[in-house]
Amino acid sequence: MKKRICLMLLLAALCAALQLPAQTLPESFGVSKVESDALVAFIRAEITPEIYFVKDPADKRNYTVRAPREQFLEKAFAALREGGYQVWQYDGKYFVAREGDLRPVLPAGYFARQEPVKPADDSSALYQGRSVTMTFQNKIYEIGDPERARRSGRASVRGYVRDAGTGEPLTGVSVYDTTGRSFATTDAYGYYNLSLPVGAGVLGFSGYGLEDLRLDLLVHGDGALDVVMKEKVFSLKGAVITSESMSQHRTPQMGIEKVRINMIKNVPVVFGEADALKVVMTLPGVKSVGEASSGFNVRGGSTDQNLILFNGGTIYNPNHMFGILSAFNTDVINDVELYKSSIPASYGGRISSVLEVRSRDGNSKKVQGSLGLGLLTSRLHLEGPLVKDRTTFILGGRTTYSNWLLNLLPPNSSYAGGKASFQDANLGLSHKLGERNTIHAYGYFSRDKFSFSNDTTFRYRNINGSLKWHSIFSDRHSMTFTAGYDSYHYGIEDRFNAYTAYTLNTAVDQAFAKLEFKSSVGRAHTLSYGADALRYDLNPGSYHALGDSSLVASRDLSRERALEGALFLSDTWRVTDAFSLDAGLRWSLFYRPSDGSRYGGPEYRFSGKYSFSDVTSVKAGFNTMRQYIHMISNSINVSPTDSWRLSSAKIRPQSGWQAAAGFYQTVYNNTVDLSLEAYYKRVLHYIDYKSGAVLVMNENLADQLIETENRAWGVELMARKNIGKLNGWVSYTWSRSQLREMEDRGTETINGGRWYNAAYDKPHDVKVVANYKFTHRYSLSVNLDYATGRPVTIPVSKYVYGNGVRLVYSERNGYRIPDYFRLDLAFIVEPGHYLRQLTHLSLTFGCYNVTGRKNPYSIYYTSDGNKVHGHMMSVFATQIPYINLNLKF
Amino acid sequence: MKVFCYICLLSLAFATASCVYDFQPDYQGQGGYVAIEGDILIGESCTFTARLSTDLLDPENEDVPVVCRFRVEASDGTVFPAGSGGRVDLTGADPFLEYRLVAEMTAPFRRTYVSSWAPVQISAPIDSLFWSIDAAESRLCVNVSTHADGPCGYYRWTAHETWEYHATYYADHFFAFAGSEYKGRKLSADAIVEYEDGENTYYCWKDAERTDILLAETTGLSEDRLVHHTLYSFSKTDRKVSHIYHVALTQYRLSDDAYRYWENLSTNSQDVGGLFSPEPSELSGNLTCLEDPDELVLGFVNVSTCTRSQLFIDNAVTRFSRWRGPAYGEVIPLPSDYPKYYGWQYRPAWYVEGKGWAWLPKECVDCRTSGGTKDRPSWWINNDK
Repeated sequence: MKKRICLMLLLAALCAALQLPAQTLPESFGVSKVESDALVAFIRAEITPEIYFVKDPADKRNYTVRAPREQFLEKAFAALREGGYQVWQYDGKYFVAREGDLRPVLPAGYFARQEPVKPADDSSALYQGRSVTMTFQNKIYEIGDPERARRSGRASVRGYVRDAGTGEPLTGVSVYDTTGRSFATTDAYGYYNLSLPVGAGVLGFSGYGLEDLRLDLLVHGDGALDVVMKEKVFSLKGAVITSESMSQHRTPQMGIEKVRINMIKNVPVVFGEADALKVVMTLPGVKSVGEASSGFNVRGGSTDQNLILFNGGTIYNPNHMFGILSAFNTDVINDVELYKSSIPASYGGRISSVLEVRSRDGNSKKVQGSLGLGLLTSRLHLEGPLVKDRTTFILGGRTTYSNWLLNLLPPNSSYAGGKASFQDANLGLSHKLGERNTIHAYGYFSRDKFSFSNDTTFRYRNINGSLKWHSIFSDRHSMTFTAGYDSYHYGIEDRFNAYTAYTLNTAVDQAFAKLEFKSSVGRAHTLSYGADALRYDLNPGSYHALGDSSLVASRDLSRERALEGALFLSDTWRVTDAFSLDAGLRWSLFYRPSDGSRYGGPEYRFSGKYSFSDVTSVKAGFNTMRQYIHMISNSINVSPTDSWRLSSAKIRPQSGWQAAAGFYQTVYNNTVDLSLEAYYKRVLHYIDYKSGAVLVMNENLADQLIETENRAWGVELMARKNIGKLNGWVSYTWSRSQLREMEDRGTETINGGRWYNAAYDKPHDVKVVANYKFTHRYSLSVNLDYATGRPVTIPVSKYVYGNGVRLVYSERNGYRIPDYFRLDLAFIVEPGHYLRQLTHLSLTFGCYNVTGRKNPYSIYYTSDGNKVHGHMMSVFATQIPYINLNLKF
Repeated sequence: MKVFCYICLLSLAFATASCVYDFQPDYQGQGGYVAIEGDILIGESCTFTARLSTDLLDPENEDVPVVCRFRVEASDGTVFPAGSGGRVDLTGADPFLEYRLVAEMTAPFRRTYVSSWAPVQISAPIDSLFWSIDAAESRLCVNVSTHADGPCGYYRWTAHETWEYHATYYADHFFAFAGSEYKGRKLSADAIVEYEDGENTYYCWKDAERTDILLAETTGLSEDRLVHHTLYSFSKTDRKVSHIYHVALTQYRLSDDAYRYWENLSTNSQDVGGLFSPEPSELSGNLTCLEDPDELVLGFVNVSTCTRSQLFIDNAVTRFSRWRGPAYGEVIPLPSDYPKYYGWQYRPAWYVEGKGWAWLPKECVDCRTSGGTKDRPSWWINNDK
């Protein structure tokens, strides 16, 4: 019989204290009609802190205990015994649990087991009879049926890891056998599954911002172990090891960057609005063309080669306010993961990277929320259980009131009539269907509207909805099914002239479904396989007359519809403890019925790891990718007017490969991870456009486009410290990215068919993101960014033509603007940890661009007809101080 | 451009700092590209010029003309040679033929440039040319309406502007040095004397070609009709419309390729550097060098007819302009200090009873300091002189 053991670690201290009844008067000392955990919490608060309690989940009984203080303990224990609990006393401490839940003795036959516990381990002290403070960590948990125990071999141990306070699943927690032989990371549902040797062992759990946990196990056979972990509240030293550094040495995948919400909130950003995408841009290998740009370039790839997923749905425009803010509300985000090299076979459709943004599950214990006020936006979020411990919700919303800033502009400014607004909303529902099935529903909506005059209005919106069903068939098999709908619509209204007034709309709508299975085969193989399908429905342009007097000839380009599907299979093979391989195959297909174009083929994903020790590893990887949807843009920044088009008979899909190798070392008592990764990458059929191309409302767009190839290479060095008073990362990247037109079009060929620098080719790049905690309430964050100036195309020659001086442009991207340097600081005041306080206020004071450096965004020339003037444009040319308030309740 | 300024202004709200700065990059420019300018205008006398482009960073050589022999060839073999100054008379040319331009560069270059053969684009008549004030009352717009019965197409305009403007103050006297002539006699000493009848430095005229590229297309419309199309506009502080403004507008019909060329030229020189600006790129025109077909030749020779219209805008009618000149005067007694004031570019304006002459900065009383002249066009609408 498999036995499920549920650990409740110090949970009561956090929650139950708030549930104390108000009528605790000295003369009638006691509690009325409270659950057992609240009763114990009362004892802990009023009589002795040294009481340890394992609540029976089935115990819904209400306890009323009233007695003078000196007799209270006795009465309370009597009541608990009536409720079926046993009370033990040991070394001045009390232990309350059901019979069988707590075993303060060693299991029978323990010393006869073949694998003795190593005496060096602290937790083994109990077995040696030393007097130790007994916590749940040094209880021994038996896994599997002792009656059918195997004497040797391995068993599969699985379970969920959840947050002790909120009940949310904890993602990315490292679960490992402390002998170093087995390692797993919890997935998006907090689920882990790993193979452990039969017999006694110690299982470690560690995660960012969580207190490390070590559990003594006695494994008889396959079984489940659910764990709750406590958020690290104020312990700033003494953490042992972090999941990131563990996983770095255990998994063969490389080029994966994960940023937790804690770090996202600490990084100072412009106007103080915490922003997940801006933090992604502080990672090595990620560049952007300039400030106020949410489009990013990963390892020399273009902005449309990044797949941005939010809970499985694709976000085509992740920007608010032309890129000043990203469309993700940090109140509901759990973490952000960027795959820039080893992209799992289950993902595809973009060449350069996958950015996965995951939102949190709501608190399963109680309703809570937060309210944030910033210079540009205000935010509200609420979360909690709909059905306690079973159904939760999380709801977040943001809106802006940036117009007050615009109203500060002088009335004679030509932008005084300008307006910008946005809203976004997130909803997440999660429902447990028994122990093995969970259903999640996600909804996302964002809309932006801006105008620079009363005549022209730009709008866009994202709508995403998805359902996810996660099912665990057995200890070794699980399934995730996701289906949803993504929609991105963009429109312009121009009323400048009533006779030419128009609306122009474009849209990307897609329905998707994905089925993924994970299976453990034997001890060494973990398989992931499945299929995904995507149905595109694009409106490349609808141009319509606006108003009765408009002469505009309404016109709709034919909708672009296509199917994209893929089958994928990958295997992570732990060849030996030190050596593991990951091999994946994704077979993608694209079919566009309107012109009968079909594309497809295999995509390979390989990576391997060899660990010289627990702290030193090397990795190498190779992968190929295909991309069937392209962003058509003639600006270097992601512009709101960019439209997406599908591959067709005339527009071939982009394809590319990347080879990478890395060296990883963890130093300074396992606190600092050093990594060095090098890569070389080629992409074919990347789309550029001809000079003077008409990209908007063009039925024959393919004639305006040209194909280029891209080569990129670089080295990324990073030192990352996730724990301690000082945490953050320092990175240096040296990289290049160049393009070359693939076809010879004579004198029209860009740069005569020679390689030229991509607009985001910034060879040297130094980034520092650090947070120093003075105390658990006060911390200082620093963000430093240095990069070589980006290439721009500037004129070389001038001539008089058409009554004015005109410019001759030469080599594309042949000149570099001055280097970029920016330093941001933020001082963060966290709320005090008073558990009884109803609201917690955090404050952030910061300054963006502390040195006030006028960083150029572009260098350009204009001609007023008579004279040519050189200009340098800075987006944020001065210090921008800010203050941000966040109220949790 | 609009977008970036908007964002910059957001930061301006926090601190008064500008976001666009003058900048002179340090790099090697390049000159020497041949630019050939001029359209083949059927029924008109048209002018062709050839120039060399100059290094962008060279402030001296703005305009380097090259001597060329031009001729226009018609598809029936007729040749229209250019006279002096590259002027070709096409008044009798047949609008139903195709035409091309041939430019032969004389020694030492010895190169021949030809434009591609093109049919004549017939320009529509201008229905109306009129002014309006925008809804925000911040811009005075010059608008055109035009239409044709054929398929939709492309338009370009050139505008020759003439405007009458005034000095801030009317000075009825002026300063004359000893020895200068006044009313037929030589002055024996420096003196402030009254202007003769009709003389003044108050009314001036100035004229110029508009340098911006004025384009429109009707290809997205249901008919070839532009209604109330705004060509350009003026701010309230633009001196051109402070009194009387005149524009002589010429309208050309462009071919599709010519429109793309001009549009790209316009983008490259007027719409660059912003957050969402298109990347500048060079678009070849329709001229080829016969000796070296790979040579980049600047310019596009469009073949069309042209139509014209004109418009006067009187500020007394529009009541739009808020232009105010410099206003600062100082009354000082003569003769003790006047040489000093004269040297400081002050001029006497009028006499203040009992105090002396009011002296004002030269630009307040002499409109010629702003580049205009006293050459009143013979066709000017009023009697100012």
